[in-house]
Amino acid sequence: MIIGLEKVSKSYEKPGSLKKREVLNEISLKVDSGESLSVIGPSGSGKSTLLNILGTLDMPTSGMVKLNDKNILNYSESQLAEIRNQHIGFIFQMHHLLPQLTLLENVLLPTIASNSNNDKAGLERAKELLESVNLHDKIKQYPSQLSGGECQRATVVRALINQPGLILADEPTGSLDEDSAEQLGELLSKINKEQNVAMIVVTHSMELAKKMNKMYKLNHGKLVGMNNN
Amino acid sequence: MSIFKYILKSLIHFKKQHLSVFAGTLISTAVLTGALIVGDSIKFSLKQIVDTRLGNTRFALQTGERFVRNALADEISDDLGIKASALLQTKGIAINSELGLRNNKTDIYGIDKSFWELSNINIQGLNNNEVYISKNLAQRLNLKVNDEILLRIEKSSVIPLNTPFNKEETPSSSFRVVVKNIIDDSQLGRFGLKNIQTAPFNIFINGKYLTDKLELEGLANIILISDESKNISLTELNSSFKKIFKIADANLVIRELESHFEILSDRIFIDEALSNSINSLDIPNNTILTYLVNTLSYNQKETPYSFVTAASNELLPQSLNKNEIIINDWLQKDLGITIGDSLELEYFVIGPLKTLEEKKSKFIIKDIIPVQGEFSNNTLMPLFPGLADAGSCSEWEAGIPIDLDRIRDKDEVYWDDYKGTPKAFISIEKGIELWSNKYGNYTSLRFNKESIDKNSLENEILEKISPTDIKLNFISVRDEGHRAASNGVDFGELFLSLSFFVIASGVLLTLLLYSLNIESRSTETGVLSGLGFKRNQIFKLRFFENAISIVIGGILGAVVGILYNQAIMFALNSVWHDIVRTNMLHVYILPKTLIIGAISGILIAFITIYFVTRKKLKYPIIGLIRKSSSINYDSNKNRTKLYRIISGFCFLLIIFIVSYSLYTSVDQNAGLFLSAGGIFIVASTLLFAATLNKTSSGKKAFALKQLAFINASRNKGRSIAIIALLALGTFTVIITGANRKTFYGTENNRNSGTGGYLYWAETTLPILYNLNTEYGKEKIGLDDDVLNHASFFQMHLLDGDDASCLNLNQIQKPQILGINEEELNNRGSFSFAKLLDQLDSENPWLELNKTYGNNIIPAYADQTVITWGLIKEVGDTLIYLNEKGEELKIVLIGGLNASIFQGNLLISDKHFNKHFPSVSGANIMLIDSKTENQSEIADLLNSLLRNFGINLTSTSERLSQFYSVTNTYLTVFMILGGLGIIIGTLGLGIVLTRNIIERRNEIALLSAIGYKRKRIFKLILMENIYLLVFGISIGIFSALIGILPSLLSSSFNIPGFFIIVIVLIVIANGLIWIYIPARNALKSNLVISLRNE
Repeated sequence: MIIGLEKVSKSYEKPGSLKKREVLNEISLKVDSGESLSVIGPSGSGKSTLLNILGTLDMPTSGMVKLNDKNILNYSESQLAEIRNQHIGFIFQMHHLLPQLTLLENVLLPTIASNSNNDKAGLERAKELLESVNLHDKIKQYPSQLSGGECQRATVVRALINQPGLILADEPTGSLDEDSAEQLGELLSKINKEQNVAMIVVTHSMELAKKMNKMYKLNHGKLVGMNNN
Repeated sequence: MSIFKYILKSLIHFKKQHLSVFAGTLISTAVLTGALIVGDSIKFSLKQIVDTRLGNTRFALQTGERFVRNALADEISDDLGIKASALLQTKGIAINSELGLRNNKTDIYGIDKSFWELSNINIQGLNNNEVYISKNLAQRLNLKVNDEILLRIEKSSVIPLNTPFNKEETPSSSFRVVVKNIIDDSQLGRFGLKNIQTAPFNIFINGKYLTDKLELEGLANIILISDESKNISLTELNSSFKKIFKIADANLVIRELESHFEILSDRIFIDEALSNSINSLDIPNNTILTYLVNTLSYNQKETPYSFVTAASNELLPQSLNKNEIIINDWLQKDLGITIGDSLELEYFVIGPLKTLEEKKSKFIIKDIIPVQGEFSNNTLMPLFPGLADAGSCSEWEAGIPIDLDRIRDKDEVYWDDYKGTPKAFISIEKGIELWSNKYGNYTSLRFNKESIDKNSLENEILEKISPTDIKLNFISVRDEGHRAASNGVDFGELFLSLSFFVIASGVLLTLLLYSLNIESRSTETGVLSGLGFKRNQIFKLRFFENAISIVIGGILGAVVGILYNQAIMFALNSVWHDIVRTNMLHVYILPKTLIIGAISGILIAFITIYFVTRKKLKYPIIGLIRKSSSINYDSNKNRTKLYRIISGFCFLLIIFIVSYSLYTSVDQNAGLFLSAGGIFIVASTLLFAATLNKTSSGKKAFALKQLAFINASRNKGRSIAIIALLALGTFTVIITGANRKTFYGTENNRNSGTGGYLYWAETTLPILYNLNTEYGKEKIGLDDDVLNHASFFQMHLLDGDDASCLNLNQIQKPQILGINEEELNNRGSFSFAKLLDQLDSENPWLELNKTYGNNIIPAYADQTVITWGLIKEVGDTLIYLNEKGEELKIVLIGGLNASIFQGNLLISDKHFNKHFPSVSGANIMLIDSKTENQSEIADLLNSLLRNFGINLTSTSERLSQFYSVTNTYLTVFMILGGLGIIIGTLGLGIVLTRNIIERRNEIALLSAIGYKRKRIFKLILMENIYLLVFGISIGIFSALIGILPSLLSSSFNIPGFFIIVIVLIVIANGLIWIYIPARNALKSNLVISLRNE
């Protein structure tokens, strides 16, 4: 098991009220290496919260988050950052590439957090990955010079640069046009299969969701398995 | 890709943002460094002034009211192989009669070529009627080379002018001199031994010529020493002085009589310290005190004006009890008196300012002796000038009123035959009881020739007495000058305080802009976190990225600080001249100061960004990525509650402080009121923050003004920063403005700084008489009836350094005024800022009459002088040497509110006369009268006391001169405060612009749903005006609390117009910064904004 949730709940305070709003209700989930799954659900159902908890960006109100069978909830901020850097790759709805860095530099950004792969080999890997997503001729360009689809593909490469075991994608196609969304879905699917990387995608797009091995629906705080056919 | 590359690329990409951090750091560093350089520059300039005024002089002996042989200079020079020069200094009035111009306080130095040689100045010698004059005097009197000056100089005398029976001389001597040359600073034109930066008005005259004019041949009152060729210590110099010291330097002479050697003093009465030393010799001696009595009477018969000698029993033919007297046979015959009869003596006791009090004393005749004998002869009469050399009684000049009608022929015959031979003798104990005075107890001391020879006697005396017994010792004037310059008002500290608001604005600007920068990059921060960057890594990235702009800003800021300093120094030498009273201030840059300034500025900026970055990194990563970090993070009930609790506590604290201060002492708790004002800002800002939290927690309202308020609460941090900035700025400016010293008709109040007196008069030449008496008025020539309506409060002056705010040096020994404390107490004049707890606060002036122990006396001074001039506190002690060379401890028992006494130490006349007896007459007086006679009295005094060099100023004018210094400081503070507000509001403008840019979509949306541009403009204006109104209101209320002591004081009128103008300027300034971005935002293409959305 790469990552798993055990009876994870999450609730938020309601502004101006003593009551709490429960977003996730005792959710359990297990994701193994090379596995891919998608989570769909209506807006505000807690999809992104679930992904953020899986990605250690947020903490559950109760329950356990296990990475490689270890509960990571009592880890320090620093240890969690290391996990995010080494084991998890993030793809956000917006590309969030840094405007001051070129495409190549953006891709290499995670490597300087841990000084990993920040050498010639790392550089080669970044170039290879960029080539694999057809961005090899744009490595010196800045995000402002690229299209939305190109930027989002670059974020996929950025997520892969440290060879993580898990990719978490939050509405990766949400800001893309149909063609670009299709291309990105294919790319994610290909990566999952070819690189044996576990992948969890939160999306509104049924097309993208169906590209994953498993499909779940999050509704009223509960995760319900769905048939992705 | 490396961290360095990331930092560098971020730096380039966000160059505008870094430019703002750079600007903030540059401003605060520049101001900080500039202020520090002001401190260095002033210290350096003051030291330079010391060197300029002293030339090569390092040590000086100043004899005060005494004189020493001018040969001392050569003797010391020979003994130590160093250069020395003897000077005779006096004060005078310099008059350009052709143009009718005069300068009252002129320092006149009788010098010889050694004076110039001392400082290696090659200058021609002076003939008898030639003078060199300083440049400033030439300018004041409009004099050129070869012009003529009429000099009226103080008639200095070896005998203190107020000595009993001293001949009444005209107090001045006049003669004409010709300007040989006008000398500049490099030629000692600025020469002076006083620690003050202002240039004296100097005249240098041939020493021999001056001593002849003053009948002080061979005497000097200043010895200067230069040790440029040989480095000697002060101890070595004073040892040499002691070695070559002669009894003549103590104004003593040994006179050889038939059977005795007699010690006499050129000053008539032998100083008590000297007579005590001589009496302690192991050689038996006799003491003598001879006095002039007005009348000897018996059985209605009188003998006028006779000398009576008090002598020790060994000298008298018979031992006498205190009530016994021996008379000569001439008196016996004159009065028809015999042994056992009672003889009455009437005599004057001469008080301060020659106040005469006639007293009587009765004695029983024990013996009658011949007029002339071994003991009884005219050698017993002291050498009173005016008496000893008088040919007849009618020629007497005794310094007291002599009724010539009472002098009979036989009295003239007695004078012809026996001169001042005493007619009666009493015991020395009784004599001291009746006639001892501040100048001494004895007129002579006699040693039997059988006991000792003359040379041995002189040597024994020299062994016993020390120059320090009569306060003669060299001091290191250069070291003292440098010390005073270094320890004076710390202008670095002062301008740091004055520049506080500019520095604070710079820091606030850095803080505000950096906060905005980091907020705008919150997504980047969140993404970095998401990509696995640890918080401390992100912190380092931010820190090092900004370090570059901060370090460059700091370094360049230090350089710009030089320019800021130059601007301040230029202003001090010109428009702010009132503060420094010199135009000799130069910029002096110490590399150390530049480094300290740069490092301090950099550190402040680092600390600022440290806390902002730490705070921002505490936000949840998701919030950062979604860029919602700036909105509503603080909106929680706990924080609102905490704000309310702190705010409530602060308000309670304010109530407690104000109540306590009102209950105890409004005047003495000014600091507490100011603190309460400061706390009010904190409390109100927190309350405002709590209100914003509440508003953003869910209250819904859709009226435009409510919408505006809700909008204002969107960016609470920014709104609070704006409120705090405006409140602090308004508070500072009002406090400063309200404390400007003004009169508004309160100057005639007796408890005001004028004491209710009309005029302050200083005379170059001392006035020896009490001008409130008929006798005194007559002597001085104040014979106009109008002057009978005037009362004079005359004060004795012990010359010292000016400790007023006009002097930048640190003063250890300010000039002392001996005052009549009872009169001030009866009038209820002046008021006190601080008094020691144990004093009688109902009658504070009478406290000056007390003595706290042997040579420990109380004194008052202006509180500002105590704090800034002396750098002391009430309760501290100043050490002086009295005329006996004894340590005199002067305890500062209280501080006066700003008064015309600024610069002086006030002690009781009683103590003054005891410790500084040689000071004759009064040079300073306060004059009171009915206000309708005011101008007439001023005209009369200016005319009648013209030859005394009177300088008459109205007390309110004098006070306003001191106020002008305070007001100039306040102006500086206001200007720099205003600069701070401008810089601060520049930040405000940037914040508002930023707010509006961030809300461009929202504005476009409002437009899309039908809001007219005018209404949107009104909305933006309204929400920011809320902030402006709140900020300024908080500032005004806090300032009102701060100035409550002034508001409650009857002698204070708030300069309302001034404050209203200031507040209007702040409001106008704020409105401009609101108007411009709002207008610009509405000018932009709203459709594009909406399309982007």
